[in-house]
Amino acid sequence: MSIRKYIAYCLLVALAGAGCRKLTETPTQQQLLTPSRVFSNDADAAAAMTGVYIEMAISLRSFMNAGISLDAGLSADELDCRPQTNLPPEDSFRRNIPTPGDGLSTLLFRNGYTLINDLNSVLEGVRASKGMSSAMRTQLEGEAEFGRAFIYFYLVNLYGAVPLALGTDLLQNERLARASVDSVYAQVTSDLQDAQRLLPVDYVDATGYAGDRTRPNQAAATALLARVRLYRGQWSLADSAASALISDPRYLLEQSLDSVFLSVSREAVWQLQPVLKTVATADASVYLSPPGRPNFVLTPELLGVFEPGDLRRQHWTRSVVVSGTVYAYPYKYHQPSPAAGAPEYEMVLRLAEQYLIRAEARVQENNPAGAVADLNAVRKRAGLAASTPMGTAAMMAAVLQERRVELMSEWGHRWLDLKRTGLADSVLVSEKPWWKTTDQLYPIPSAQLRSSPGMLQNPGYQ
Amino acid sequence: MQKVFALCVLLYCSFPSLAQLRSVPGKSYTFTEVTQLLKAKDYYLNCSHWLKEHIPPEEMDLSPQMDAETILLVWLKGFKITDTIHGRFIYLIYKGDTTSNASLYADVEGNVYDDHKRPMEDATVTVIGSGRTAVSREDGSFDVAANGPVTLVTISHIGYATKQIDLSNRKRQVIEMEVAVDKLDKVVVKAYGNTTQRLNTGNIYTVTNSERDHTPSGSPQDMLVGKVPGLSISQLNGVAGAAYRLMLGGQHSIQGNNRPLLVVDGVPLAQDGALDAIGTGSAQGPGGANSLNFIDPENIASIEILKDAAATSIYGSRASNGVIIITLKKGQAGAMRVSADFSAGAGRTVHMSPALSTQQFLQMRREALDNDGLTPTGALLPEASWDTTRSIDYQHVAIGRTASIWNGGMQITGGGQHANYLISGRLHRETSVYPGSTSDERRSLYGFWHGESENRKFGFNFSGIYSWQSNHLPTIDFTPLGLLAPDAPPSSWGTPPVSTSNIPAMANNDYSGEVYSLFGHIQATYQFSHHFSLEGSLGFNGVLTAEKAALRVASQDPAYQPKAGLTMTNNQYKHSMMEAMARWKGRIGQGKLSAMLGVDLQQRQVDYWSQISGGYPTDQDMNANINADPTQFATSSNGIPYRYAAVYGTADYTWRNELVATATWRRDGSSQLGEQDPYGDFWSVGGAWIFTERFFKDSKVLDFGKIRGSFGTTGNEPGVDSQLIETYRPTFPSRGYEGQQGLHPVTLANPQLQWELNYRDEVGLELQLLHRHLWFSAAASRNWTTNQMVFLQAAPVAGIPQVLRNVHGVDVENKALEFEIQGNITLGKVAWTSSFNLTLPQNRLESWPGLENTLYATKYVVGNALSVSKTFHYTGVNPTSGLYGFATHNSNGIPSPSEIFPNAGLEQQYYMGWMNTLRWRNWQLDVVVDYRREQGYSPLVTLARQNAPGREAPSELSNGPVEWLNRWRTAGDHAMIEKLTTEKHTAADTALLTYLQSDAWSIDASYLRLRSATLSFCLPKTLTDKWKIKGGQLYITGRNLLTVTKFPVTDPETQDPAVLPPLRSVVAGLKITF
Repeated sequence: MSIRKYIAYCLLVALAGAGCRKLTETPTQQQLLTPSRVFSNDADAAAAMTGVYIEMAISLRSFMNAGISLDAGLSADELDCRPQTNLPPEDSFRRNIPTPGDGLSTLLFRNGYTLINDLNSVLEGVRASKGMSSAMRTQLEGEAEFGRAFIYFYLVNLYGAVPLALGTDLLQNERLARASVDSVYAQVTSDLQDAQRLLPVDYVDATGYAGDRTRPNQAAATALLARVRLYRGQWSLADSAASALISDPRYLLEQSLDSVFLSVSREAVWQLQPVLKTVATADASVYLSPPGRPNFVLTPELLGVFEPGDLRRQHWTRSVVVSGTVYAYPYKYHQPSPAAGAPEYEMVLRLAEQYLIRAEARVQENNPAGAVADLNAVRKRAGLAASTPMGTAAMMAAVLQERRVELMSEWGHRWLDLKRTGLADSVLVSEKPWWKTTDQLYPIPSAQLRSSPGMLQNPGYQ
Repeated sequence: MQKVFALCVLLYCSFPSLAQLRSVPGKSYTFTEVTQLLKAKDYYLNCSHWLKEHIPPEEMDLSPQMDAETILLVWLKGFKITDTIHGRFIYLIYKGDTTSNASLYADVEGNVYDDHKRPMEDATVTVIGSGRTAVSREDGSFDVAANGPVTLVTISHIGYATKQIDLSNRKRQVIEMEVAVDKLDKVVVKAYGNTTQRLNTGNIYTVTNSERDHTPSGSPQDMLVGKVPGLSISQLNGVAGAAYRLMLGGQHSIQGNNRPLLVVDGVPLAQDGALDAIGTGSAQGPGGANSLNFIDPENIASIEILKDAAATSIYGSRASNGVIIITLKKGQAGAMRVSADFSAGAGRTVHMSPALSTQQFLQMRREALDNDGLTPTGALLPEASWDTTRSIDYQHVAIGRTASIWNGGMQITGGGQHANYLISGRLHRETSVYPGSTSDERRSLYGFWHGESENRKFGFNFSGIYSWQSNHLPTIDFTPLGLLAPDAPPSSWGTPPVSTSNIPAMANNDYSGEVYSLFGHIQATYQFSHHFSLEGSLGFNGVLTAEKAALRVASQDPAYQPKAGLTMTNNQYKHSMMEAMARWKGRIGQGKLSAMLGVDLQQRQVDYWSQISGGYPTDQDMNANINADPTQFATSSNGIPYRYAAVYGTADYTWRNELVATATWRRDGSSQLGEQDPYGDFWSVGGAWIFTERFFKDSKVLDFGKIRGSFGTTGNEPGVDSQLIETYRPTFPSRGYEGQQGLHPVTLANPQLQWELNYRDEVGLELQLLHRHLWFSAAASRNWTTNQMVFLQAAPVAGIPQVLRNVHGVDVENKALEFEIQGNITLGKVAWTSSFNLTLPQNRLESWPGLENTLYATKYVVGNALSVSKTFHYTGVNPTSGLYGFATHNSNGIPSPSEIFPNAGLEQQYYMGWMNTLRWRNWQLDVVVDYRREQGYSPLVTLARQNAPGREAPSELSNGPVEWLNRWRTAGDHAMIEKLTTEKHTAADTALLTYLQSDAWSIDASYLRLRSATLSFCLPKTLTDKWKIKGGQLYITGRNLLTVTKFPVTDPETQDPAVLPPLRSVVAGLKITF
């Protein structure tokens, strides 16, 4: 009797103790969308990457959807807020006082890292996947690495040294320290080199067929790498990367300025397709609304550097008169609402920038003839006569002038150019009386500082 | 030969009825008399002098005709003396011990039987005086040392009335026990077992379903309203079959679950948290359908409410909010008994304030324009064109119908010695107060079967429920439409400026919900020995839903070229559990120990599927053409599977019915918690001292007194399922990307997530007074929840906005005082039973370090209840200026942003219930009244948020309640509503905007409600005999019959003017037993 009892007790205890962890482990249900399930087949895995593009394009004025263009444009000397009673919150960028609290600067930072997390999640999923075809694995890994490089490129340029999150472990990510600018660039470069190797040559969509230029291909990785090389002063590498694009017959400068930002633009290297039914591009919604009374206008300084006869002044800007004052605003995107036929897509990378990258690289490589040729290719399209600047300094100035006009209101090019060329202080102090050299970096959000003890704020924001 | 005869006598004597024992008094024989009797037979007694002196005279049936041996046998039966006969000499020898407290009397021997005449094991026999106890054996037999020829003992057993009885030691005693009627000895169901009120160490409140309880709504929760101290129940709305909010002892968790754990016949129900979706597409609103709809209240035997640590800790991580155990009825052995009942009745919305008439509305509009110095004409007053002869209170149209209630059921029970069964079925049908054809139908089948082996060692129980509910309700709650402009045309869409909702047309939209529930529980027990038994049980609970909500062309204004649309939802909920238990019981020292060890495994899976489609040109296309429509979106989002495993044990030690000590322990593992530490240990210790066993023994006032106390821990799981597993959800932008929809990660696993830990302590006092006429109990409890799970902003680099985290130092405390008084009194033929309970709760956010840096910074105030936030303080309408006034130092009367104070929140000060039963001959009247003193959300503020009085309505819902008439007009007016205004940026407008941000919303929502009253009549025996039935009952019952409150506009229980208040219903019925 008592033996039976003890057997029973032992059985119970054994059952309870030994099996416990197993018993609470949940099985991966067939239909449950866990990462392992999502990345077990091509269709769902591709949908996860599609989800990242949708995330990039779903909210207006977010990181990838006109947010950087607007915020960095205001921080530099491209854009102004039209004077009115209720200034938009972005005015803090114009006055170079983004706050580390819950403001737009923090939102931009969070938004960037949300995308990083999404992309890391895709990377982890794809790398651990067993059921995907190798073609799809290669493509998605390339797309995710490319996307991560793109976002880190902007994070490091806007915020300086930033934490380098390369996985999705919450607790680990929250406690990351700031990685040095060089190591962020090293990561960006290696991600892009991977992407060059992994991405398909042709544009494909999630189903594998040639589509719009809305998913990056190998050329997109090369284009961004060309920019990175330029920013890092690796002139010959920048030259050769840009050359690869320029010599690619699939890309050419659209001769009509009104066609540059269309979905069918042959100048496009990578575009984002708008995803909301009632909204065209985010840029159009920022600069064209409310109709006739834009909130954001071009600065007199920018308008002053347009050469007479520049077709871009005519095609890429518009003016309104409000209370007797004339305001010009960006008009690169013309469609205030979704258009049938040839819609506009949000341009991320385009060929004109590659010409200007190569021009600048060639100036530095002491190849003035090549530089002038590239510069004039862009000027010609704008209806301007060929320019013949003499000497490195004049040629550099000509390249920067061309970048300022050609790439105005696009992706904060002006802001980044001023900073990387060391001109920010000298140029902006005369235009913005409040300018301090520490304004070149946006503040690290205080929420991040709270969570990572020891992390230092950017100077000027303590 | 003589011995055989003696045996016969003995046998004969062994089974007399107790009545016989008393009714045949024998003659008393002294030692000398017996000596003489024997001497007459020529026998001579020899014994010690001591014996001779001590053998007392005894009553016995002796006669001179008996032979010497028989005389000796009968005589010595009651003593510890043996006899030896040598020739003519008889020697008597004492065979007991010879210590000082030696007794000459032989032990009392007897057998205990239960009410079915089956031997009763484990009954406690206690000798009054000596305090000696014995416990009956498996065959019901016992022996206990006697005090004398007759020994006064008490015999007790769980669930049976304690018997106090004189037992003779001369014959084998037969005792039949009766099922307890006294409160103290009734069975109280506790976690994994039973106890009695007498020996219970925890706070367990039992609501027994009596034959005379009737719940017209068919909702089990209605059985509890107003009856249980510490339990606060509110109906979320008055829609048929809608959910209730149950809260046991306040809000413990800030972000987690605050619902008590529901256990039906040992199977925990979790669908309350997991299946909120049922019915949410219908008028039932965001709370959806009542998850207990599948249980027919008639099949409930009792509901136990478990509150303190001693009672709940054994449920571990799920018990933080208390536990409610529903025990279903079991079969009754005997010939088949059939009972059938049928009832029908009607319900109407409880009182709501009337809406303004056309004249009143226009008058207020003109007054508002006048106040602003504007001329009430033209565009400023589009209502000027109204037809002033038409004035409709649309509440009568929207929610003015009378709902009908039909309810019929049948129950069959019977069985033999080793098996019994119960089968019952019910149909409940209710219509609603809305226009159009609406109904809520519930059909349920319940079966119970019990069987046991010949030797009763193996036992088996099965209980199962199948229920099918069909709901046909409007897709929206029509209550807000009660405030349509009084001039709106009754059944057309109107023309601007009075383009309005067309209620009869909108009633074409229909929601249909089919809910199928299956519940099953089997339990097998094997009794190895008197001490040791094993038990295993399997439970299953599944819910399938198929819901459709149609937006019909006919329900929309044809002026806007409407299209039809359809939303379909199919959800599945599956839950299974398995338990195995070993029990041991026995005596240790002078007490009884019972111990139990068990394992519990559970698994749950919820699957959701829904499809939204639209753009159908006609209503017919909706049914025909679902898959062809291009605008459809389908989603199949599967819930997170849930797994749970636990080991648990309890030990109860009862010492002489005086001291009880209990201890429980449970180790839980749950998949809802972070993988770093998904386990938690929960424990409790409890004790009770029945001090009347020692003191006040001879008290005429105090019959029973007990002090009990307990301390222990429970846990709380996250209310949200999805915080632990990283999952992807489909994205739905309208255009997709490259024509495709995507998947997006929605959660990031927090591997550190742990239980919220809840500590609770409680002390209680229970008294029974005045010969069981009065019962009093009081309990003071305190529980505090630490390790709270709250959403905190994640560090930005983590890439997600917020994470559910345990925060150290965030403590929520709930204290409560509970009192209950029950009394019964019989005056002639009138018997009155009354029970009153009072609960004083207190909720407090003890501490939250760093609250100001969280998402909750403005929502909570440390040191106050969780419903308290900091806002401007509203001081009423200023009689001089006519504007809303606030506590401020600013001269313009508008407070600065820093002038915010903790407001009154939604606190409950106290609540009480009062139940009465009056019986007179065959008549019985049951009345339940409850009163709550609490703060609620002002409907006037809710309405002012939509549209302030005096303004042109931005939408069609422009009318207001008559309370609006109480507005300020001239200096000195004490009004509820400020000076009317129509303009923006006037002083009145600024005051209004401040009013909406102030604490004006927190108002007194106290109410007294005649919750239910039932008059029933039992058919007299003459009639039942004549009709050859076993019994019959006629009754009429009403719910929410009367409400006394100062609460404006709508009902204080629902508080929201956009929500259907509870129904006042009256049902009459008949129940017959064959």
